[in-house]
Amino acid sequence: MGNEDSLEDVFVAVIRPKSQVSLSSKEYRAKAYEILLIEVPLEGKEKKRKKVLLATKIQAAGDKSKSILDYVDETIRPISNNQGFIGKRVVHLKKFLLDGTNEGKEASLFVVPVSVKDNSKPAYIAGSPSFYCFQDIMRVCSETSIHFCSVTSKMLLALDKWLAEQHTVPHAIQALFRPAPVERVKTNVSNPAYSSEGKLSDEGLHMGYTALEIKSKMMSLEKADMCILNPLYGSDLQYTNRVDKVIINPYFGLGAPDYSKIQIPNREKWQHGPNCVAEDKERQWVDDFPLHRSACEGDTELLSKLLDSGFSVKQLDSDHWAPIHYACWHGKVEATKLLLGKGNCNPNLLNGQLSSPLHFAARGGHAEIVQLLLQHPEIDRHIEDQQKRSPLQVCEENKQMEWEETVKLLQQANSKPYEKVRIYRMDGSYRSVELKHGNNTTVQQIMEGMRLSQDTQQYFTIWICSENLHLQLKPYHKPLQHMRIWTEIVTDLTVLDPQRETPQLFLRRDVRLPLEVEKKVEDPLAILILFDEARHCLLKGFFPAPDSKLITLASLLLQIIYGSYESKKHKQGFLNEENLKSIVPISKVKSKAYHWTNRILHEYKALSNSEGVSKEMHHLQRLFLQNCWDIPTYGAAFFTGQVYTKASASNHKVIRVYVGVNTKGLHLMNMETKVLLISLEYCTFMWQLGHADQYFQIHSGDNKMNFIVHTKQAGLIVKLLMKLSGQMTPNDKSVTDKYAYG
Amino acid sequence: MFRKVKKRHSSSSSQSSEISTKSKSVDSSLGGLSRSSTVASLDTDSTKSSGNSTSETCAEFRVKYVGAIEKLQFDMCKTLQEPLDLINYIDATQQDGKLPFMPGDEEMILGVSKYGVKVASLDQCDVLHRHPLYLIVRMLCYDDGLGAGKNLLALKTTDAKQEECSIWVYQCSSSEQAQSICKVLSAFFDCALTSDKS
Repeated sequence: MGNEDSLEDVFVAVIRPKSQVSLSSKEYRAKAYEILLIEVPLEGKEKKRKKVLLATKIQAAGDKSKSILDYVDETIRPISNNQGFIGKRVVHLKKFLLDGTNEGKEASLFVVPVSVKDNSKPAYIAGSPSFYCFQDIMRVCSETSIHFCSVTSKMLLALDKWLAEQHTVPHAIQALFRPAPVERVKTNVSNPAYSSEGKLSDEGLHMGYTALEIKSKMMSLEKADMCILNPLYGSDLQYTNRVDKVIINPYFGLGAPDYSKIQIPNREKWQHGPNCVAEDKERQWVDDFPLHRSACEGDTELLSKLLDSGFSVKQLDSDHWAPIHYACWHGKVEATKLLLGKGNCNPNLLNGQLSSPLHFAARGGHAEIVQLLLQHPEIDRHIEDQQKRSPLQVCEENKQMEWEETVKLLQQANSKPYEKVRIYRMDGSYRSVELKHGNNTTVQQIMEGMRLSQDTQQYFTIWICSENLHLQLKPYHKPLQHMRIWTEIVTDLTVLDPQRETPQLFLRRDVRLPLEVEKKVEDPLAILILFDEARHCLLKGFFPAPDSKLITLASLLLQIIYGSYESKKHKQGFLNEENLKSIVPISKVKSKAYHWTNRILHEYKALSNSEGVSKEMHHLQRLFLQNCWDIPTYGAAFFTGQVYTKASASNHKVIRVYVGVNTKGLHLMNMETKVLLISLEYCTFMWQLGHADQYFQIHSGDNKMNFIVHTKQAGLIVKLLMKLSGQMTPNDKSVTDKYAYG
Repeated sequence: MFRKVKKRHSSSSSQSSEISTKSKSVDSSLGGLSRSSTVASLDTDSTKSSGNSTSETCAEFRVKYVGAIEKLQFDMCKTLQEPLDLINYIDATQQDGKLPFMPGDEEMILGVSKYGVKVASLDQCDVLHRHPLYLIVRMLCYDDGLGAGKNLLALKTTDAKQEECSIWVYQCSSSEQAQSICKVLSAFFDCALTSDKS
């Protein structure tokens, strides 16, 4: 039946390991294996025999593996006591060219591994194959060996080489001799949709469906139930990364917790859908931030009522927005007006993301609000947001509502003159300085606007002063914002009625200016400003000094004010109370000054007639300063406080004092009498800040002194003491951390 | 959020073969389904009762990826219809050096649901393979025979036109795990039939 052409010549090398151990060996040793060979008589020589590999012909189109395994089984059966060797698998090794009668043909060599040699004695039957030690075979095997058929030799050599190769591959040898698949298969799950594969179910149906129906059902699972397109995709909207909620594990870093003590909240609570959370948040917000909400909705009636009841226009909500941001974002003109007017809200107030109301109004194209804001005297029209964008840029980027109108307004605003602020000098004169950045203008920027020379500028800075509180500001401070909150500052630092304290900005001597530097000042303007301040301090009584010193200073002032002495003009009666007030400390005018008039006039006359003294104004002013420098309190910043003295065991006496701090040290003056109570130089005393910055303690071992000053300004005083005690020498101006409130 | 955290937590305990199931444990939902679906063709009641409960679950397992024999031509596919043929073919491919004997070290998550089989990285960020249910022809679980008792999972898939087939081989952590993967898949084959979607 078989067509000769469809049969294929195959050679089969049946091999088995001698022992299980050799399977795991990494080194190849031929003696670990046995190979099945058949002895056939050598042609022509009756006695001699040669060995050949098993060979057969199989159907080229059929299942080769099965055919070969069947053949092997059949061949081995006689020598294995009819039990047969079950070939584990068929491995195709290589194709070989045949020679001799079959020259030009090809034949494949297959390897069939079988189980490890068992101990039963093999039955030898002539003409049947038997196992030979592979090493013994290979020892005599060569291409020309007479012991083997030449094809067999070639194949054996190839097999030897192949086995050696397999040994170098991890797991390959174990895999070669591993059990046949039938022994290893455990579970088979087949898809009923492909029931043509494998066994067919009864009548080709599976649970009443045909394979095709099943497949279509499965395919339908691949189809989407729902398709949601992101409507914002591609719309070019800005992505804002706002976090809804942050939960920080308060126990982080505290080691493993005691899990038995942790209570899991009620299921209902944490299984709320995302919508519920958002709703809860909304409700919470409405409850917690009524002012924000009324601004947001433009409910001016409620807004006004809430402002009356004391809600702060500065309060930021959970999103770090203040009410004015909502009003500007939503274009609520009246609400904005109320917040700015009645609420006195800072028009430059930033939200948590550093955006200003002007940015918000410009972004939404709310022209009327932009107009309103730009008209505000304190507006910073050059304000930038976090991305360094101006309101104009934001407006043009978003193009909302009446953006064209808004752009026009913003552009026009740039050509408007700036608001100005008066910076006073101690003689009462002032200079108006442009506020380029509204109330965002810094001390530094104001100082630049003062048009002082670089040299002069370094001796002075901006102070904010009201009747009883004087604070030096740092270069980055925004003085107008300090003025806004002056009542808060006054309440914070004093027990005074804030309503009576009206702040003004002054150009004054920098408290850190060392005397050695001041002594070298040549610039007449700088000398004038220093002189004005020194004179002011003298007249206010802040320079406690011996009478002789005060008389000398008074005579110098006469020379400066009235020019050289003229006997006709400057008689005894010339120094009336009014005139005395302008040359001697106010505290002395009534008590002592009348007795000094002769001496003052005498010194005045001597000064005028002295040849050695230049009558040049700035020289006289410098002479005045020279006389002031050795006064202990010269150049001091003055604070106020109280000292309790023990008059008797039962009652304390309270003394209100000025606390002066300068580059020399700390000085206590009686506020009433202006008498210098204590003057301590640095290095002779120690200080300590008391609880809640409400007092400080001074201890001086040298003077056996120990006292406490009670003042809300204790924190400032101690900070300044630390600063000035550490820097006695003229040092770098780059230190920006000046003494000041805040 | 919560689910993600929980998943991380359970995946850190490397012992368990079943990583997690999103709504129900595999054991309870598949209790009545521990047989090949081809055998269970008459057992319609039990599949119906469990069909709905399992329909939205996804059973996840930790496996290692051995390799794949991809895009075998139609002729070859025809010779691989019997399970033993498939194993033989994988064995031979391994012996040829065209498929590794051992998997890589990296563990993956093999998820089985009614949508098919999905293999992803441990953090579930990268999906390595996805085999839609309707393209899965057969899943075989067998011993790799290399002595260590490792179990391999062979997945035979086809393409939509049924012109090619591919074989995907994964190594399971245990025999039990391999068996349960098969059970779960079998259950989902049945589940697909009982789903109401037309």
